Amino acid sequence: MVFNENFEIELNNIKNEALTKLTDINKIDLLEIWKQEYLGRKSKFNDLLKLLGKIDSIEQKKSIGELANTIKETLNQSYENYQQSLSELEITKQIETESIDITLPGLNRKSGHYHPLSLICQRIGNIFQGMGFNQVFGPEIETNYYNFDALNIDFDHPARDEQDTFYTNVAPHVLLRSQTSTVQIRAMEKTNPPLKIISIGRVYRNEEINARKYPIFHQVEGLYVNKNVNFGQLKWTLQKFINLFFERDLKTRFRPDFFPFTEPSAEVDCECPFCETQGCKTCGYKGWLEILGCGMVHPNVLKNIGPNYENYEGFAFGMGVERLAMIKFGINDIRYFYNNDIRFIEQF
Amino acid sequence: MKFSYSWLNDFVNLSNISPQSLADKLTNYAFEVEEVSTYGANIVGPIIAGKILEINPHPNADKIRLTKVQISDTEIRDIVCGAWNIEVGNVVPVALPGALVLNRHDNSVLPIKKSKIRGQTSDGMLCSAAELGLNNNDSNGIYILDNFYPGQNLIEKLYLNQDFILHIEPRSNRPDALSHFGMAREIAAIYDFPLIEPQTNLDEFKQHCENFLKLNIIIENLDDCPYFLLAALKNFKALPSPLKIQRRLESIGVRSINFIVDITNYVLHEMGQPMHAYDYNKLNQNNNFIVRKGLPNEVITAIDNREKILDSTNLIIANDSIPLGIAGIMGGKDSEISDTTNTIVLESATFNAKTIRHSSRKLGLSSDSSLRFERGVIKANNLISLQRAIYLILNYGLAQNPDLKYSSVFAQGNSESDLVELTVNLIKINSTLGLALTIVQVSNILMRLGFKIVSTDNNELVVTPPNYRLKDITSPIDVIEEIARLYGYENIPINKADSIDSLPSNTNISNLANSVLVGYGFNEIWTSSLIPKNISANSIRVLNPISRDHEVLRESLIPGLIEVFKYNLDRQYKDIWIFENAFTYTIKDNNNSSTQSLNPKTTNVQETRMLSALIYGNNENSNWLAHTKETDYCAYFRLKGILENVLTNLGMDLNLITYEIINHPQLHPGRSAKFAYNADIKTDLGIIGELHPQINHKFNLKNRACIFELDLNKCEQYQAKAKFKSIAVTPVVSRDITIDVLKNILQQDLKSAIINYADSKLINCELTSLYHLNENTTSLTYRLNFQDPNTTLTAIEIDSIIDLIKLNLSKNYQVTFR
Repeated sequence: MVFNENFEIELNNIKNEALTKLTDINKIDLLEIWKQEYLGRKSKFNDLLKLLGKIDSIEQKKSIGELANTIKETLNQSYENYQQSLSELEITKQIETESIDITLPGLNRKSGHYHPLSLICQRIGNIFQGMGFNQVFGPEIETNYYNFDALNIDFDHPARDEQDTFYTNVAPHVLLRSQTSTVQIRAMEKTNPPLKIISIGRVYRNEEINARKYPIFHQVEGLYVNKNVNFGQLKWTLQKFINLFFERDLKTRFRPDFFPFTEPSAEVDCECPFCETQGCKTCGYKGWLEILGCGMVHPNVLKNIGPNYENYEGFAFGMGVERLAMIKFGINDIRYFYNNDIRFIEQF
Repeated sequence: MKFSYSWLNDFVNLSNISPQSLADKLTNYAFEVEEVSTYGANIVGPIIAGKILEINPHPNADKIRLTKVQISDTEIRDIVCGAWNIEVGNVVPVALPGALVLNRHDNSVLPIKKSKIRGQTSDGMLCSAAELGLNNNDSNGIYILDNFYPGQNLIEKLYLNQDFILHIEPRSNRPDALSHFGMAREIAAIYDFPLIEPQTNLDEFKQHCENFLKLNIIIENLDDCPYFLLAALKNFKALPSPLKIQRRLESIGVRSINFIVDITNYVLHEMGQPMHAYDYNKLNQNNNFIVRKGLPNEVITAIDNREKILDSTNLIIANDSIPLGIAGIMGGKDSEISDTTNTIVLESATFNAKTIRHSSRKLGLSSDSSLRFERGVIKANNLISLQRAIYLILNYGLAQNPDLKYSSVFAQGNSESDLVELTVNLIKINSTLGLALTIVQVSNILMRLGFKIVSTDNNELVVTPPNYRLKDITSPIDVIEEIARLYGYENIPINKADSIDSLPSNTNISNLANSVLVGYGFNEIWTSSLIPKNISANSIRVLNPISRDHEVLRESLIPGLIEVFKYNLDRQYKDIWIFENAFTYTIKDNNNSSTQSLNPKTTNVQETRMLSALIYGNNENSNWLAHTKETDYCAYFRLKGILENVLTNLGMDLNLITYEIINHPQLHPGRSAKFAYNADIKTDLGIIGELHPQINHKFNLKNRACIFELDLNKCEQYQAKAKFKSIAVTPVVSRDITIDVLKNILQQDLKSAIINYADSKLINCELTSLYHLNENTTSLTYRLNFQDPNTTLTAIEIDSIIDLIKLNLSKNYQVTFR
């Protein structure tokens, strides 16, 4: 009996000792050590339970077993309670110690920027692609044939003077194209009608460098050839383009002009988006901005391509990328595009 | 080009059309009007010529006087005057109450009122030239008029009305509109107004016509000069140029010279026909006018006082062997009109446009005349313009030179032009313009423009363009353009264009590469494709460069990249990460160049799309966390990593790329490589390397810069299309293997050996550490990842693969394992 009594006392002692010790514990790792000590496989508690088998009376065994289970449950419960409150305490502490000045700058690599002309080319390309124009490319180093002859530009036309076009040492007929209209011819030679293309690319003119002129610049060429293409469709296409490019409806003005490869030809002005025809610095106080040249493809141009273009009509247009970029972004000097000052590029 | 509104009004009645609305109309229907400006002050009448009858002292003032001025047969006014240059008997301008003149102190408007000046009535004002807006020299005193009588309306007689000047952009294909009459003809057509012809009929001066000399014209080559006219005038005595002509010329920016020259200039700007006047008295009675090419080293002093050396490019007018003038460009000093000129020879001719253009370019000399000849003058205009000049000389000159005589016209060549008949189809007109015009509407438009309708039926018109439009109207489409123009581009209705299926463009690879680099923090640059001459013999050279900086086409983007690098470095940039995606240009292999260069459609030039990037510095925002941070430690490897990611994004298999050390003038010889793609054949893709130490030194660089250049055309060839592979669920097992090797063994060889010797279960192999053991030996650790998609690999299986790799490595390389 004494044994039994002792057993009970011993169990209660362990329980009391454990619970007393627990009140001193303030860290999770100490709690784990406590758990090992009182609830682990090698704990006093377990050692004691091993002796349980030596009790003969089933009744006693049962009652001590029940007591042991209750104590174990109590300790486990205490452990879990302590664990939860300790971890809460620790996170609270971590939060307290780890707060930062959230206004300090972010750590990052500087972001890169596209060149403004890239952005404008992409924008123009997307607009025309949306209107069903395929984007095609043609070479910059061209021949007299594609740059002039095929475009109905007379051998004696002033544009063919050395003054305006760069010629090369490759061969007498090899030059740096002075217009992207060359691609009209190349596209028509490759494809049967109907076709609807645009081409964006670099062109060259023998001009002195100043705020408005650079010997290298970029043009967008558009061409639509089909049966019964008419001037009204040309007007629709360009009006749409101007509205989409400037992101608002702008009045346009088609006025007569002369290009050897189109007839009738027109120069297209749009209402200055900055002053609404009141006159400002951007439009040179004219109220209108000259945007592009266009016209119906000259019959001689189609005839030069060959018989598959007989009975077809077309319209074509061309515009300067730098000019559009300068208007769109309010840039006042073309040389910025080619100096590539990072402070310039980073603005776009 | 400047046009006077009042001058245009001589030929077309503009009384109901304001200058600005005329400008808008012209812009929309014919020629762009860039600006409308005013000429002269806004002087308003009544301003009358008055004769001073009396000058009396003012009773209350010393500096001003009282005058009595007769302003008509019956009317005399009292006017107070402060000027002292007047005398009794002078005829002077009198501004009467109601007039507006200019305040001579500040050019503001001065309204004239009847007033009392120190108690004395002043019923008007005597005016100086400046007060009337005239630029006479003695503008301080009252303007003393010659040959005027009291009562004359000076607004009319002195041309005091303000004029408007239209600045019109001339067009190369419309030489017919380079004159006031020509422009008025266009305006009349646009508005459908009647055209008033200039006065050229000499009948009223018939008694002054006299055949007092005979001139011989010899044209060497009718191609250069199809038509040449001369006429002479004698008994001329110098007289002031007519005020009206002076004012008009001045209004369009032409300086007044003398009576005769002003009239020839006036005719030029009125009729579009350049004229020239010779002083016959300086020709030594030689009546031969020869139109011929210049001889080598022939010299002429032009009226600009500069000596010109002529050759066979120049067409000249010669007096036998003595050059008199450079045809169509400028006359000679020796036969110039002067104050003593008594007999004048007038020339009116047609010269070949091309001939004059070449001649003008060769001499570097152009003039109002050459500008018109280069675009083509109208033969039919030669004679009427000559008559117009004679008419004006007589009209303004006879009063003071009553003995003036003019000769008949001497002509050589042919004034006839071949008329063209053009057939225009109504259906074609309407389908091109998107209109539904009738034959009648079309005929009306064309007749307004001076076309003759030869015949019409239901669908066709046969028309003849007017003789002044023969140059630009040569085919039916030219006629259609004229119809469109006069109908009004603004009136052509907008029509939605048909859509054709659009294919995605093939710029993908370029855009993809750019977006990877922009994402990495690179700024995109666009540089000139024309660069300074370099040592490369193969580069394509421009024969007529604008400067030495733009002489050859680039064969690489690297020079441009370095230039932009330097540009930004000079502007205190510490981190420069830039790239360019653009073309380079080379001549293709020249095996059959001789046959190729003859083909007018081919160039034998290869244009290659390249991607080139440069890094300098770490391109991070200021790092406030760590004070010391490696900035350029092995810029090479940093950029190589970026390059590899670009290649991966472009669909290239990195395992097929090999590097090989190279020598490149701009790159560090020990830290630069070319890289190639080893698919079926080995193809060079580009180069990568640190900037050469010499350049570092020259630019005084603190960090190292590194560059790569990648051939995007080749990438496009080898680009693999993305294809899905199922994702394995079996575990990946990693093993490290550390190998000590001799330093001269390239890492890439070792790695590809490992990959070769492993079987397909090796899914990747990464270098995780590198350690230099000593001068000769390096220790490399690779992490190998294994996976079998179908089953979990056992340790034994992996050990056997590792053993196989080690065995093979030791066979082929001098290696030890740890």
